[in-house]
This record gives sequence, C-alpha cells and structure tokens, in this order.
Amino acid sequence: MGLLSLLRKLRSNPQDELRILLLGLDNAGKTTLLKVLASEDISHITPTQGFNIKSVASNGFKLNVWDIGGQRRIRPFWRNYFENTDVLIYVIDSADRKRFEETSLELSELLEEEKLVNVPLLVFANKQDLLNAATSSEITDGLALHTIRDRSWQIQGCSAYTKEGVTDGLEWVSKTVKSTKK
Amino acid sequence: MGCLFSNPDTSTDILEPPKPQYSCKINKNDYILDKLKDQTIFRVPGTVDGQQFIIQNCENCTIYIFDHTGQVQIDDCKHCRIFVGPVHGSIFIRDSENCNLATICQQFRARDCHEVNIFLSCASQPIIESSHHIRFGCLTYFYEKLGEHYATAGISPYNNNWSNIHDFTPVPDSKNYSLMDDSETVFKHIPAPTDPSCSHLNISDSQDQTITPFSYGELYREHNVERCFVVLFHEANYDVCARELIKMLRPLKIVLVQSKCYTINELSADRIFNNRSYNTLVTKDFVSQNSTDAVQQLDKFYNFASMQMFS
Repeated sequence: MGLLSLLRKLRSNPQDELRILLLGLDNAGKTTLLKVLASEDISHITPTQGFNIKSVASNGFKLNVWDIGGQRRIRPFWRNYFENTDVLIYVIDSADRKRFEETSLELSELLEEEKLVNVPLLVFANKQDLLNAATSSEITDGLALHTIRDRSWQIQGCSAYTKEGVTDGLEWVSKTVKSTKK
Repeated sequence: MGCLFSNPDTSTDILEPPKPQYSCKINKNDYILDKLKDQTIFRVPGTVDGQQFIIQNCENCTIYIFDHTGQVQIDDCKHCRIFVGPVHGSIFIRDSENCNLATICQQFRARDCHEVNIFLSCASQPIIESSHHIRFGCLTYFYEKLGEHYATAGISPYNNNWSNIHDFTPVPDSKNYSLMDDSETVFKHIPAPTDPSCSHLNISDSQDQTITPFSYGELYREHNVERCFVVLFHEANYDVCARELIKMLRPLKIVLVQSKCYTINELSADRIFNNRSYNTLVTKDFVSQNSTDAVQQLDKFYNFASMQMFS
C-alpha cells in the first residue's frame, strides 16, 4: 500500500487535507520510507539537509507527508512543522543500538509538545533486515512506549529497504485517522 | 498492550515481520569488532556478503573489509586505520579521533569526530556534524572483486562526490574540514595488508589500477582554466572507453575534475547539449566544440546532476 491507496481509503473523511509528519534521528531511514510510500526509486538517496515533502491529491482530498532532516543541529527546527499534524510517524534505526537512548529522549520530548497533544503516534522500527536489529518488542521496552497514555500509538517493525511491514503501518494509520477524526 | 483512553475500541499491539531464515547459522559477533587493541583484522571477499558491520571501541587497530556491506557503524575508535569495501547504504563514523578511513558508500556521515582522514568514493553528498580537522581525499583503490562489489552495492565508481561536503555545524571564518590532493595516498595512511592470505587480492592504490577514477572535484571546480565536457553514451564497452580515456589524459596533464553516470532523457539531452540531434543519439560520443560552449554545457550538466542527486 502506498500513499495513493491510503488516500483512497481515507477519502470518505470529512476533512479535505491530512498531514503526516515523519521524524526521527539522522540515518533512521525517513527519506527512504517517504520514497517507498510514494513508490519511488530508493537506490540514490542523499542525507536530507532541510526537508522533503510528498503530496498526493484525489477528488479534492489531499495527503501531505513531511520528512524533516534529523541531525542534532537541525532538530530544534522540527517544531516549525508541528502545526496541524494529524499523524506523527517516528522512525528508528533498529540496528543502531548506540543511539537508542538518544532517540528515546527525542521522542519523549516530542510527546510533551503542546502542538502534538493527542496526535496518534506510529513508531516504525526500521531496518529489521539488518543483522544487529533489535526487535519491536525490545524497542517498545527500551523506549518505554507502554507509558504513553495520552494518544493512540503503535509500533511496527519494518524494512523500508525490503518494504516489509510498511503497508501494515499505513493500515494502522488509515484505521486510526478514521476513528479519531470524525 | 498500549493504553488508548481516547479510543478504547482500537487495540494497540506489537507487530513484527517474520525474521528472514538463513540457510546456515550466522554468528552476529563475526560482524562486530569490539574493544580491540593493537590488532590487524581483515575480512576477505565473501565473508561479510552484504551484512551490517560494526566497529567500536577499538584502539590502534588496522581493519580491512574487502567485501560489500549493507550498513556500517564506526564508533568510539582511536588511532585506527580502516578500509571498508562498498557499503550499499550508509557508513556512519561517530565519536572517533586520530583515525584514517578509506571507503566506498552510498552515504557518508560523520558526527563528533576530529583528526580523521577520509579517502572516499561516495555516491551522495558526504555530511559532517560537530566535527573538526576532518580531511577528505579521493579514494583510489583496487582489489580483486572490488568492481563486482561496487555493482552489488548498487554504486557507480563514476559517481563520486568525495569533495562536495555539507557541514551541518559550520564555524565562522574557518572550516571544519579540508580537501587533500593526490600528494596524499591511501597507502600512506592505511598501508596494504602484509598477511599472505591477502596477497591473491592484488591490492593497489595506484591511479593506473584504481577502480574509482581519481577526480579533483571541488579542488578544481572554481579554477579558471580551460574546460571540456565529454559524454560517453551508454553502450556495452562504455566502462572500458572511459578508463582508456582517463588513462590517455593523465600524461597530457589534463585532469579529470568530475565524472557522472546518469540516465538522461530526451528533454534533458536537449537542454544540456543545446542541440536536438543528440536526442536520438545514444551511441555517439560528445565533446564540446569550444570552451564557451563547454562552460555552459558543464553548468547545465551539473545542475542536472545535482537535481538527480537530490530528487
């Protein structure tokens, strides 16, 4: 399932626009994921210096996905993109165990942001194809996701590279948006 | 289970895609070098075979990975010399100092490093963050199978952006990185392995044998000298032709500033060459007719190439 089929599923929604924000540390695989969602080639991806955006529109309904660079230096700019976010997708490099603490800290700061209150959270435990990848359940414990009580959330193991798990994540997004945005 | 006070009907659970089944058992520790001191380690072709590789907490080690990998992390290393063959994804070096690294990758990233020399063949724009005294040079390297490993990792030796660095934390009036010219060689910083079990790899860093052509990149981009734009159209022996051309130019003191390997559609061909006859081309080679044309064509081609890189 790509963005177009997500759009089709959501079209019965009364709103005319849906905004998805893709965040996560640098090297998590946000841009690769964005390109997979847009069914684009993923063989020549460069580190993101600013942001990338993909939009799909059909019958007056529009879906925008924002992918913002994740370097430590530019994380303070994430907040410029919080306004009117309908779904937050947080991407983790499951094979980068050295930075689990750093990614956990950034996520907990995001969840305290006023502008993101109640915004549903999908955590993509990306790079499951790599040898050293932690499982979704290890990451759930490590990030203390079970303590999240103010929003719907889901963790989905995936590999943007092999495309496994990506569709399941989007299914959850479409289900969640439909039930919370009426 | 997650708690969903706002929406108790939807359940949250943890979903994992099935783990791939390997025919033979893989020992993760074969792909992690941790806490080594004063050692020389090498991996010959076929032993890593596209897996992720991690090098961490090593001191005064010499490490050679003569194979292709999926993703590489180098963390907390000091005084190490490291060669890593083609990386399909990113190579990320962090919290390391006084190291020498030579590598081929789709993405190069460095954070919290200092005093590091990097010989690079990188398909995208290399980036650094919170680092200083980083020196970049163009990789020149050969070992048996390197050409194959380039192809398996999905990287073209002609798309090397080794000198076009993006610094996320620039400092005013100074630079966190500098560029090395060809007076610095890989072997000067990372000598070839002496172990006899590597001798069949015929390892070399010479410009005559390298798989990655030596290019001057940003060292020459702004030089106000005569320039020429040469296009080899895709055919079975384009690689042989390109190598032969580069070899012929060297004794003539004509330097290669940059090479690129891209698919060009008709619209782009029209724009770059300013000449419709090349739209149907595809088998002819192209050389600028005069230097004014060359400058314009180069600008257009670089614009096109960077759009390809960032699209």
